Amino acid sequence: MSESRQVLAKVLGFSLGLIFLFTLVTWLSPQMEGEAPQEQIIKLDTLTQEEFVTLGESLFNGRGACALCHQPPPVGRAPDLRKLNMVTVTAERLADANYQGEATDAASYLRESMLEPGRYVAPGWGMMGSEGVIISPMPAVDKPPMSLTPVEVDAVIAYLLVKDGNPVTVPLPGGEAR
Amino acid sequence: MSISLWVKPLVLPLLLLLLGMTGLAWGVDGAAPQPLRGDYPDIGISSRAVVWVLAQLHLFFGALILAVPLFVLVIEFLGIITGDQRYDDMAREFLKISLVGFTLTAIFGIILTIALFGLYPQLMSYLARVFDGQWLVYLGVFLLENIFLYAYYYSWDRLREGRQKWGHLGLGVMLNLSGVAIMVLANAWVTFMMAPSGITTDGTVVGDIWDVMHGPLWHPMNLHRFIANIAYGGAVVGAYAAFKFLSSRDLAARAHYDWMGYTSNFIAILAFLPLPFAGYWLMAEIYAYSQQMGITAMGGILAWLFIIQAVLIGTILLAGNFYLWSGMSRSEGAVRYQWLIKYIALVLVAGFLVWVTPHTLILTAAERAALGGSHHPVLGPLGIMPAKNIAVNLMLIATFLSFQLYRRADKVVAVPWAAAGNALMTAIYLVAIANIIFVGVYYGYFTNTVYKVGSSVIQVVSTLVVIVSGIIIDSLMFKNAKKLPSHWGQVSNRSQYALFALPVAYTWLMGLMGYVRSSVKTHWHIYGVMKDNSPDNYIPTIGYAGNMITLVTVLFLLGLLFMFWIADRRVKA
Repeated sequence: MSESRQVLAKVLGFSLGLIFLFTLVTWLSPQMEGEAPQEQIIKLDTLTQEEFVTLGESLFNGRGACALCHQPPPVGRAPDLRKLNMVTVTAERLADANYQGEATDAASYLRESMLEPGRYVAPGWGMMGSEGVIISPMPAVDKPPMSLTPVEVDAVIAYLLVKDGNPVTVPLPGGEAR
Repeated sequence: MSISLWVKPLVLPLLLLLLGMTGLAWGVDGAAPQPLRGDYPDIGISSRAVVWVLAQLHLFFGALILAVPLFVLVIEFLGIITGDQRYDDMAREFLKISLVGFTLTAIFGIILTIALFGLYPQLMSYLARVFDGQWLVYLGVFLLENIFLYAYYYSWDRLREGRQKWGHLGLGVMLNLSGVAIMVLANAWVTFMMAPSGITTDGTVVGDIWDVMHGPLWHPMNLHRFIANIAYGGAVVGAYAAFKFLSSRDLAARAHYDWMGYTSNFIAILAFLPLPFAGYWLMAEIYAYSQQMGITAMGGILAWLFIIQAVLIGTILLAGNFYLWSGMSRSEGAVRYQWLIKYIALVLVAGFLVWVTPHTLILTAAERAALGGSHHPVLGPLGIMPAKNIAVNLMLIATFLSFQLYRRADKVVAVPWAAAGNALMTAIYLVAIANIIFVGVYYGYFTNTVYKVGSSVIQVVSTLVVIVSGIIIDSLMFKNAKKLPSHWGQVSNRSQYALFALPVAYTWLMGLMGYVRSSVKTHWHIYGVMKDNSPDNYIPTIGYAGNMITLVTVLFLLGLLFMFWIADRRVKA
């Protein structure tokens, strides 16, 4: 074998070995697939409250993408809603002198926060906007890419209320007010 | 000059033009199409896998042919400035090698275009409509690039002397400008798919072509790819020099290729140092555009990928530093600095270990119970970004120190203020390191998100201050320094393998980042506007991605060997 071919064989062996090492790291890492949200057909007129809350929870963790940011610290980039009782928190927020919104209770506050996140930024969770103004990093959930419908927004509110044993104060899609 | 020489640069753009016009013909006005699962052609194998391989190969060769002329231009310029003929010879040698790369890039580009229009017709017809006449501009610039390439290469001897040499350099500038223009145009399509602009939420075009191109991610992507291309070009050229060095027994040839490898690595490392900061900017813009997209990349399903990125960048930094340390043996003056190497190595290894520490561990129930949760009580805090920001910045500073020591190794300072200069440099290092650690720990762990993100900017500035001030102080301090002899060709064979590790890791890293860039769009062709309803509309596992990246990297390496083989035959002919 000529000098060049020997060198080529060594270099190829070294390079392929290195490539294999990189590939090995990917094999040893957790294997997770990011599934695209599946289309769901839900009969709204027969939806029970339990199913409604379950829908809200799945939206919170899935297509609504809420759980991406609303996580425990230090990873979370927004208040950890799963740990907070939203009725108690709402009372504090509405009493805050900086609150500029129009909500009157937990359900309307949650809806306002989801559709117009800039109305009130929870202390310590904003980001620096232009001219030093603190703005909300949260996108409106009824806009792409989440594009939640009004019923889906209500389902998320129902889940956030029920998880701490609070009564559901949003209407079921079938029209029954609770 | 043969006819084929003129046919090649003309035929390829004309083919692309034809395809572009076909795309325009399919377009309709109004909102973006929303294809259903059945609307996508089924070819029996994954369409995404086909496009993945073709796009990545096109991009690898594209990066190379953008990088090498840029590298060649810098080297030719150095040759003019220094009057050292070796620079000019090396520049020409590399342009010759890259000629085949232009053809391969175009071939993969055409196959990719056909595959895209064939497998994703609705998406491509929409993009063709949105970008309208820009296809023609792209083709025009592509044609210009080919003309400048051949003019630059074939006029090398004719325009060698006197003022004509500057004219020749001008051709190189034009070649590079057209190359960069191609990259910038292609980046506009990619960033439009990630962060669309100039359209309504249903995809109706409301702005002009500038509004469409000028999305929030366009400039960060342009800068990131431009800098990366310089580093990539240097790395590939370095590997070629290392191969020639190892396979040559002639001392003069070994000295030449040792010098060539050193120069290439010099440019590759220098360009690599600011690259993470361009990456920061791109990521910050992604977060600003969509928190959801940013978190999908950094804290969601793709988070583990940044552990793999740490392995790759760790490889690049360790290999680059090892080559610099080995290269110091060329000069006797290096003895003065060798005691520092073990500390630099310590910082690099410690930084690397912090970077590869994951935040969340995948555990069995028993392990979780024993640990008291999924986060290790001591190592857990090292798994989040503040710790990794500290690690990366310290690794970059350590690499710059290696670089600085290498540059100083063959010189003896002559200025009277040398002691003060060294004291100032040491103080800058110490203050920057203290600042990076303090800011990272305090703002990263004891304040909220607003300050956490902002603190990384302070760290980046600290690192940049070290790099910029180091270059300025050294250039003033060593201006008329006494030069110690450098023994080119006497470097160890082992050091040359570092020059192979660099392009292999770069190439694999580019493949990995391509996977991230495409995956952050999740199930959208065009984020928030046009859904991907194809069978491949999910983010594949990291293991699958690893296999795909390895496949394209190996194919690219084979393509490179083919390129070098053709170039070698030309030289012999």
